[in-house]
Amino acid sequence: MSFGLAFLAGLMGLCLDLYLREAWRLDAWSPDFLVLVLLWLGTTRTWTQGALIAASLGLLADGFAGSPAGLHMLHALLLFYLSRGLSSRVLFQGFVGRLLLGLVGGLCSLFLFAVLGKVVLPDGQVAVRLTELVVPRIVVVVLFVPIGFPILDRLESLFVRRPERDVL
Amino acid sequence: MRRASSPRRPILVGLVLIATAVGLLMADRSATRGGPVSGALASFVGPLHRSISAAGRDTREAWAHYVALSLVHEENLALRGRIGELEERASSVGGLRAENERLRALLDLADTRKDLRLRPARVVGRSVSHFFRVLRLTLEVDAVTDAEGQVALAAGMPVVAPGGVVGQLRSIDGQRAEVLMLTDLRSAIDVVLETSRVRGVAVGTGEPDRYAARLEYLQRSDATSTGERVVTSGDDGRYPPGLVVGHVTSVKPQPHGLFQDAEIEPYVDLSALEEVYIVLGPSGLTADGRELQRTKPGAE
Repeated sequence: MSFGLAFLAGLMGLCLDLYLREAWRLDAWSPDFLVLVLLWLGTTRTWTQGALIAASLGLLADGFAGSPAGLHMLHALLLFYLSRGLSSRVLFQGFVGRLLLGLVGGLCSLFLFAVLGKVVLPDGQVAVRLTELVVPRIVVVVLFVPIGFPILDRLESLFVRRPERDVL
Repeated sequence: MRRASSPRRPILVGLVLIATAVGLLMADRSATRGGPVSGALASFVGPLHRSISAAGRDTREAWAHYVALSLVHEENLALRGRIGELEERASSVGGLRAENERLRALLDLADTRKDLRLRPARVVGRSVSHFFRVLRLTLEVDAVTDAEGQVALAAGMPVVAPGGVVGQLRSIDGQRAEVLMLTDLRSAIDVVLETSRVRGVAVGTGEPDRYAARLEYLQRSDATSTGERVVTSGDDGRYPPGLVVGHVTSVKPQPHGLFQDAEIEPYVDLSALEEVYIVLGPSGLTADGRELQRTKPGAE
């Protein structure tokens, strides 16, 4: 259930991203919900489960973007590992903590995509394009992480049954 | 007794997943057309993508036509009702006229290029990505086989519109197909400048805010001028010769090196495409419809 919920959240994020771009032409200012879900996975999931969800969502993102199969998958995996590694060492709690995680995650996401684009795509245009996207994407990710994490946490607590405990 | 999970398991899973992603990338990178996984992904995501795109477009239209105008609507309801009625009639006539012109241009293209076997297709969506320029098409009949059961369409086939080249087929799934536009980063077309006969390769720039391509491998000594038409050379064995790609908008001589850079603007308005033709191959006729004269073996 926990796996399915996280996967569904990611899929909904991809659909919402597509819908917002198509409906409101937000372009660079469109929230990257996939990055948000990947960062959240890093703070809530185990290495194995999170990696499996991140890989599945990345592959779906390849289908949505029409990109070479595996590009977003690799990007999602690396971003998840980075987020998981960071959150196992630093506690990103509270509004400011999550803002910080959004800032680091957004920057790392763009950097990873620049590196992968440089290696995979036929010329270096992706890196140039990413420099234009740095400000809007970072601002949007930073703003959406503190809003999105509590929503995802609440959704999970609604649908995932916790073992009952005796309370004194 | 329950066995504790191995501490190496996450590392193994991670390595397997990363190796899978790299393997998929290597398989897909080898050619401009999508690999089998890309095709499977496109057919899996396609229906969802189309319905969300349609919902997004409907929302935008609803907003533009109703919600944004609601304040004005309250002020002059009666007058707007009348104007709305007239506008609706005019827009339906205008829409029909525009569609008529588009279809006429499409027919003209088929008439002027009788040397090519063309199959029409309708554009139903575009990839909304910062980096990739992909069109999604729907075909009138099943694309994989024709009436005689022969394979009709294949990845790599050129796609054209009345203005010129649009791109090439990337993947096909039943009545759905994806087109890699000529402005996609992965697109490369062997071209020649129409008057100066200078040769080069048109490579897509993949820019998010405009449709453009770069002309690469132009010798520094080649005399290139802005405004000159760029057409396919036919040397790449994919695009037939003489299809218009666009025109040169700027030439930037490099201070060093063997080559100079030029930029091309496509003739086709790629943002407003609704119908296209897929080029199946040569028809065996000349461009004006006459039988090609074939030399018989041993005639000389």
